[in-house]
Amino acid sequence: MLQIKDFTKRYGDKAAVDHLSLHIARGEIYGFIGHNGAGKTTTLRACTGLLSFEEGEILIGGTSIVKEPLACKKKIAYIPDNPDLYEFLSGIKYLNFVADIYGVSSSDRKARIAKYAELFALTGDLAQPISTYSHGMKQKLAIIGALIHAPELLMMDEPFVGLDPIASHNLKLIMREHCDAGGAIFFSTHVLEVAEKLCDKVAIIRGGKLVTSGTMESIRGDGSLEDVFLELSQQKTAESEE
Amino acid sequence: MSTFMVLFRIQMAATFGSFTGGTRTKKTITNGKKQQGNRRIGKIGMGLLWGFCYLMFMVVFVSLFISIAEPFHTMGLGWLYMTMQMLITAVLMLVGTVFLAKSLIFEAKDNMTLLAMPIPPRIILLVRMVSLYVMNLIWGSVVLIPALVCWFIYAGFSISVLLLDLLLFLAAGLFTLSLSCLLGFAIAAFSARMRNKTIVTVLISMVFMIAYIYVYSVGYTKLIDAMVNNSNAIAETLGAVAPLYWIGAAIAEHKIVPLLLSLCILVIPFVLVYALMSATFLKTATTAHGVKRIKYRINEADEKVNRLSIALLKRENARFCSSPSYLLNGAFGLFFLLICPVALIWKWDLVKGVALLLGQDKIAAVFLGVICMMLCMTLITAPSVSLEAKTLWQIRSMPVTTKDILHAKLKLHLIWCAIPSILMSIFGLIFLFSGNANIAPEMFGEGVTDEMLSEVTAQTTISTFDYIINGIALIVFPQLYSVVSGGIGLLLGLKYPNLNWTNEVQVVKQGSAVMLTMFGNMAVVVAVALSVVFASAVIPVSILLLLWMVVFAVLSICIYRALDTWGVKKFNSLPV
Repeated sequence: MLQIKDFTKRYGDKAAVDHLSLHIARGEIYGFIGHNGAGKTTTLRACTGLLSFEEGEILIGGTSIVKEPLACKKKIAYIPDNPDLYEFLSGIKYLNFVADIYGVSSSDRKARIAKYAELFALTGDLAQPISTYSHGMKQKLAIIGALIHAPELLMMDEPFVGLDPIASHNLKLIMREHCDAGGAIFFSTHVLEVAEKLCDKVAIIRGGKLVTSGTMESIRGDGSLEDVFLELSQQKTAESEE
Repeated sequence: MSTFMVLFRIQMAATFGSFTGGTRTKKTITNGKKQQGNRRIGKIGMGLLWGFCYLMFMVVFVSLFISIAEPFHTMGLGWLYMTMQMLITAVLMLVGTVFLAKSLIFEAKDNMTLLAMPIPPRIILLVRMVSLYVMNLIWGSVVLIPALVCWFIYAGFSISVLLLDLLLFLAAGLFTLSLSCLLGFAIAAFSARMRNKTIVTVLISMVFMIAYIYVYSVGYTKLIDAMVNNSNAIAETLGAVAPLYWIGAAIAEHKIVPLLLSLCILVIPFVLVYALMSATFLKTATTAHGVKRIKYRINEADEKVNRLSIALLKRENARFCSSPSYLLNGAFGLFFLLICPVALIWKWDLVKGVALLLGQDKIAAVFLGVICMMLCMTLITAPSVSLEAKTLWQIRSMPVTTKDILHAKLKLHLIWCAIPSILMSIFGLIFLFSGNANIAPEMFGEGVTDEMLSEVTAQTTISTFDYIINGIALIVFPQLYSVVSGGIGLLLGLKYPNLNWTNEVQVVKQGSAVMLTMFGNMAVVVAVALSVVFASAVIPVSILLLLWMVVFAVLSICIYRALDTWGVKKFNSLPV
């Protein structure tokens, strides 16, 4: 579903992401883990067409995000780490705007808004302007907006930040349901426990370079994901000091 | 450096940065030195443009003060002159900053961030107020400098007058600052509880603005005449109001007691307002007054499916209508364009008489001049790109072409301009084709007869061809001009984006794109007007209008072409 081939993004002379290659297949929840500034957001943004890049290729369902951005964007949904939504719209107007852009039919949008708004306990607040929403409510609305056109690939940057425990639990269920139905999810997180329980595969990135990737079992081995992450981080720090 | 100074520097950088600068795009980030040089040249250019505006404002006040300085000096009414200039200064300072106070103090986006830091709220408030005070002084100096120069021309230079005037000018700035803050606080508190806060704020602002323009334009001549002819009566009246006399007497007659009393009167309100506001600032800035919560119920109208172009247009319109400052500054000309037909009906015969003297061939041109002057103050597109700011990721991650996004921005401008301009055009057509039956000779003074009027009418009557061209121009010309003015605004908005604003006033009112657009649009109108004034002796006005329509049509095509090529690249290079 998503192929990242030799992707490199530079800011001046510094490579924010350096020759990264990943493959996210349908049905997979793929976790992307790394410390702050490792290049997770840069990668996610490049995958959604928000960021241009110098080297490499990103394919969504076999289509290049650079060559055919619109075709790719129709298949994906992106939720950034900070949900800056259109505060001048009400929740329902925002969702309808997103649905209009993706050409979602009236019956589909009604059903999806009803389903997800109910699940995230946001139905009663949909008439309110987004400017009155809390951070968590905005995050919930961004998630509903991302799901409204039933994307094939869902890309999320720290999706659990700001969500209450119930909403977090529901999001995990939705993610699993989405992948079981043939979709794919690529998301970044700092919450290693969540990644460990939820992800089929995981990639660890440090200083813009891929440290390791693979199935959760192969990465974790007999230990926990946290142990592996800390061990790899210390190794890399020692190597860079040498 | 103290906390105050750090915050003040940030505040000033944000305020003045919006006048001259923009957000760095990818290109500017990577192409270091060359781009830095271009930015410096751009900043100097914008500085010169703002300087030019400042000078133009001063010229207006020179014309006022030069006519009253001599008689007031001769009559020994120096105190009255000084009182007058201080009053006008205060009014201008108030008008210049009253609307800023609300957004700068109570609605600044970084209020929460700063209040969460270990900074006393009173310091944050003081920084906001001092920035407003600086703006006050800039506005006030537009009056102060011409007033002093004109006075010194007739009364001779006096260092004591200069220093005392400056001292009271600084104090008057504090006085108007306290009024601005109180009014801003009242508007913020009042509109926060209203469901249609945009409309309420715009209405309050428009009433204030119309009152100001009425006093300034209609009462301007009367004011000067009254001041010159009835100076003694005014002196008596103002003299009876002790504080006003004190201010004038302190400057012109160097009286110590009135000086101290004036300083008390001007400074004490500021101290009180500051004390009051600093005690309540934390609560005011952090309490969400919020309107009554409406529980959502499924509504068929809410879930109507729209085409992509309509959805984008509705998004732009929602943004425009939700912000009082955007609506007020963006549609400023349109509000007045809606008032024009009312004024025309009210003074129909008088305007007919003037048109008769001007010549039937120029009626359409005059109407078009009025319409386009109002349209050039319609600045919907110029801040539109900057207003995307932090939400830019949203539209850029969606399956929408940049061309569609930019076209929606321009389309919104065209639609908003179309309704009032077509209304005015229809009135223009009625005016053009209506007879002169109600024009009486006495309207033009004694000695004018019916025969003379008939003769003038016969001389200025135009051919059917001219009528047709003028009629077409009345409808088509403003629409073509809207494309040009809106297009210029959008291109400049792309050239000078500011995505890092903390207060939207920085882009909708003070942004360099807005400023340049207004001047660019005015230049186009002036070019058309000059061509009609100077070339109409050689080329018929109808042909000139036809030529200009062709020019505008070509320009419109060029603008759309520039948007679809350069504009798309520029928008795509904006940092998300």
